Amino acid sequence: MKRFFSLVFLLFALNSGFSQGVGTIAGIISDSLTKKPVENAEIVIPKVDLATISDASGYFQFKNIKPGDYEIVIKHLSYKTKKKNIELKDGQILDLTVLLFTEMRSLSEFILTQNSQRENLISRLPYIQTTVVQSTLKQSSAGGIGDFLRGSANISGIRKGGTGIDPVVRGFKFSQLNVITDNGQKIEGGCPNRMDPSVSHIDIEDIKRIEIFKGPYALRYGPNFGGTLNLITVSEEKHKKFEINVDAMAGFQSNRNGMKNKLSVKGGNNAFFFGVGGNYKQYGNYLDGNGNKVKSSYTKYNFGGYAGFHISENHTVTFKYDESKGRNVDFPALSMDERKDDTRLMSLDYKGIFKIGILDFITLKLYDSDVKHQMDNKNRPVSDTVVAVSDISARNSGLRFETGLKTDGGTLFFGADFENITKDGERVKSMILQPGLPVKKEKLWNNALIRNTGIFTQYSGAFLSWDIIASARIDFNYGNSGEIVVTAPMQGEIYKYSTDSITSKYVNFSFNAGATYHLNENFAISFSAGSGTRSPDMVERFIILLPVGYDKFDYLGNPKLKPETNNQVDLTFKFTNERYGLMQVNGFYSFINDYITGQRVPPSVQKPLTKGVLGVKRFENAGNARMRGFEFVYSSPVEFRLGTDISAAFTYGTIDNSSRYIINEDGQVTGDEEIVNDALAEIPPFEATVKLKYRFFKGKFVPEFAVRMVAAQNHVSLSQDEQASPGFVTAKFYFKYYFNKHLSITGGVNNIFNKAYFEHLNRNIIGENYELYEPGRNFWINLYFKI
Amino acid sequence: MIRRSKYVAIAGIVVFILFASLSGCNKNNKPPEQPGQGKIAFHFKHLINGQPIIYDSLMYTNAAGNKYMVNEIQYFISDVTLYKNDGSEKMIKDWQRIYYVDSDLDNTWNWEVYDDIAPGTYDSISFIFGIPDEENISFMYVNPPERDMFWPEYLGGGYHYMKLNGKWLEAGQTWQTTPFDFHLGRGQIYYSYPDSIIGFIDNSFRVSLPASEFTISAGQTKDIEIKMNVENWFKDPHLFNLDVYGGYIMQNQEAMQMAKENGHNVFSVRVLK
Repeated sequence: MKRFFSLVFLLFALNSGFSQGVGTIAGIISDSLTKKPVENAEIVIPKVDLATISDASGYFQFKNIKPGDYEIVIKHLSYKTKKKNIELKDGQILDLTVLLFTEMRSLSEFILTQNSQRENLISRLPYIQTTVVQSTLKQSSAGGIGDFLRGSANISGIRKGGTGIDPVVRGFKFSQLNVITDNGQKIEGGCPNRMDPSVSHIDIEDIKRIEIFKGPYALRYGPNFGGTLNLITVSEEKHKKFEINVDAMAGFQSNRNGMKNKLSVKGGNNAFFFGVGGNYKQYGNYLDGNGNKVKSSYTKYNFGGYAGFHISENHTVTFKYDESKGRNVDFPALSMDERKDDTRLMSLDYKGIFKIGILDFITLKLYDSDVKHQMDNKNRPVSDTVVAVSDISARNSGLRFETGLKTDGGTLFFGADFENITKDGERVKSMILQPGLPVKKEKLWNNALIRNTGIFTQYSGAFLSWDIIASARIDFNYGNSGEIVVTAPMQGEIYKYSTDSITSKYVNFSFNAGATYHLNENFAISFSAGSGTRSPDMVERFIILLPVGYDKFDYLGNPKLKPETNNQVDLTFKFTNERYGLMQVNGFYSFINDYITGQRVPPSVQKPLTKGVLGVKRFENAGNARMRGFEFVYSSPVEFRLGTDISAAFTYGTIDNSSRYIINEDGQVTGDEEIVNDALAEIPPFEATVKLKYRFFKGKFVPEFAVRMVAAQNHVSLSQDEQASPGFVTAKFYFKYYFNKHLSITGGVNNIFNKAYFEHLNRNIIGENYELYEPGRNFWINLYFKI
Repeated sequence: MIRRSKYVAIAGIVVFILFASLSGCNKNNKPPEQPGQGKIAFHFKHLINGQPIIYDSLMYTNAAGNKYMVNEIQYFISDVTLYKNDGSEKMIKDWQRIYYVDSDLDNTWNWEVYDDIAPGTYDSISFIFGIPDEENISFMYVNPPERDMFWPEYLGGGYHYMKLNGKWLEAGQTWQTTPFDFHLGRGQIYYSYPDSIIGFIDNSFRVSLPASEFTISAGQTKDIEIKMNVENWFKDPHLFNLDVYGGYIMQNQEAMQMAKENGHNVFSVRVLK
């Protein structure tokens, strides 16, 4: 640890040493038509290897630049790249005004992340960071964020029903991923079985962009084990004079006879900005490629708004409120359906840009995420003798503080975050065969609590041909729960979860460092190494006999678990060339200590409580596990009319030591055997995607054809009784058509050949020996209106 | 040229690392190592008068003279205990403590026990017929067939110890059979029958199997046959007359008590190999 901080401060000091300039280049970047400030434009001075991005007011600044002639390059995805030649004199403060002209571009996440590796500030990170922007999301029929993301390289998802697909990044999932909204808000899903993962509480139509950080490196946003997803829904706006805009959309899907609608009104002036709106989605069951109906219908809607105030030129306060509702959401792969979900999200943000001395900015965020979730098995086959209804209340409240200190060519971040997660709820069972008789009440959570306080720092900077980044955080984690008992009115207490102590405390260190070396303007090579530790989550600590795994077992929490640590290295090779396009190859190796997984508990110790399960598993630390994999992406130059995107990704996971039970032909457990290097369960197979597109009318009409090839997954976990899955190939066609500034249309057909297939990570349908297949052929269209 | 070779070298390093990271994936499954331990397997048989039961056939006569047939037998045994000749004992509980046997389900007729058994000579075997009270918890079985053995909550809850279902010819009948449900489970103490129950009785009982001496050696699986001699439920020490006690005894503690006391010699054992 000491060494790490020494390194950070050494680099910091070195960086200051290079800064002997005597001039300043600053400016404001605006849209040529609307004259609105352009945020997140990249401003690069190639001659001295410096880069920055514009802030919300379009402002940027380079200090301590030596006098001379420079070429400044200004880039933004929505605008044509602009180059400006300037002359800087000794002591001069150059104040530039830059107007950018809109350019219709075919955006793909590859382009976004890898376009101009040399100059894109974000992609200078020495590990994989991908950003998906709103316009890309619009070119998809995905009903949810998880559904959309799993089309990306090394991102997959766990499907249990028609929606609520849970993202898996390089085989890391659930609380191995840090999923946040608007840079820091966390949401604790209500369902222990993750019907409603965090991403399901945000409507995809409300997303402005999604930032994906792969690996245990992004520590500014919270404890990070395998990756971070940052869902951005609000951006600050500044209008010169008062104005109001209306956005509306209507979408339809043929397969599910489903529709979605959006209406939002936003506007403001230079002192405040606001937005109000909502989304409504209603989808029926879908037909898979075999023509079988999959019970997957759902209704979801949300409404809310935000209001921001520019207290002064550089100080902004934003309040956001959102209520989202889920009704009758079917999950054929779970033993219950979501009957009702009422979620309320609130946040208050302050952002201050100081630029006083080295103090660059301060941000503060307060948030509250309140989820009320009700599930039942009422729509399950009548052969079930027990009606069960679960009501769960989950709440995550917290805050995040961060300050940025600017050095010449680098930024030092310091901050702290805090989250308080509480969960309470019970399952009430009544017997159909004994009507009027007492019910059984099982506490699923009894005032369970997890509190995490973290302090973090990060330094990023550039020296000559090197970009470096180093970060660290320490987390203090506390967990507790009320006594867990199961009661029946006539008998009183019939089960009691016995544990010596249900309180757990952890102190976790996470740290990493990485560097990118730019061989020239086309080639760069990056290396990152880091260690990310996460505390066990609420399910792993406190779950009481619910089938929360992919297998058919009731799971039992374990408050005595040790934290899980991911030690990872990433090596990335980047190539960017205006004539040949962009290419990135990454390989990673991850060594996980105290891997948390379920291990079987004999029925003599604990019998399951859920119908249809095979037994009980308890969460345990199972020693060391390893993941390794690669991803390859290529994207042809944006300027090409005929464009190509290619991606391929693979992850391979093993656990050093595990055991499995020997089961005889009568289904009896008769012994056990040790397994060395068993496969980790739920790791997606190798897959590759090829996309072809053509830009008609200067990009106003862009049809795109994509083929996705997924290999069979035969490397499956023996100890977890995982089933192999076959490979498949699917194709889809879609287009976007920009009619005018008021109307644009996207549409297409998914699964053109109506292929019957399922993803390896799809859960099985409960009660049937039938996989949960993906939807068959589906025509869709989205209309976007803007006034 | 030099530059190009530099890039090729770097690309080579990347590819090498990728391949290196994916190697070393050999699976090495070791057989279980349980040196010096033996195994035991129980095989359940259901007999009347020493012969395998012919179900659904009105061909048997009990000690009280009732002519009867058996349709099915379902029961639990628990806490199977092996007594070694050195005085130590081993209760089977590492995986399952309660075992379910069903005459209709052949996969329940053979129980390959998970527990390792220390080699040596064992004098005898005993088990609890049914489920001991502290283990007999309502809702503990969520899946059939065990789930369907539930004992009604108002009669004490938990699970039946046994369902011995059949039919008999009531006195005076020549061909019209009457069903009997010879069911054992928790008994009730009534303040006033049938509404007011003031307490419950544990009717499970321990069965010691006669002539059950056997020897297990390391690495050996000992096969032991456990036979239920159904006719003995109806005699010794009590003559159980179906005409007297009727077809339903779940709320009749006197009848269940008789059955319980008759149960001591219902089971016999044969060491197979």
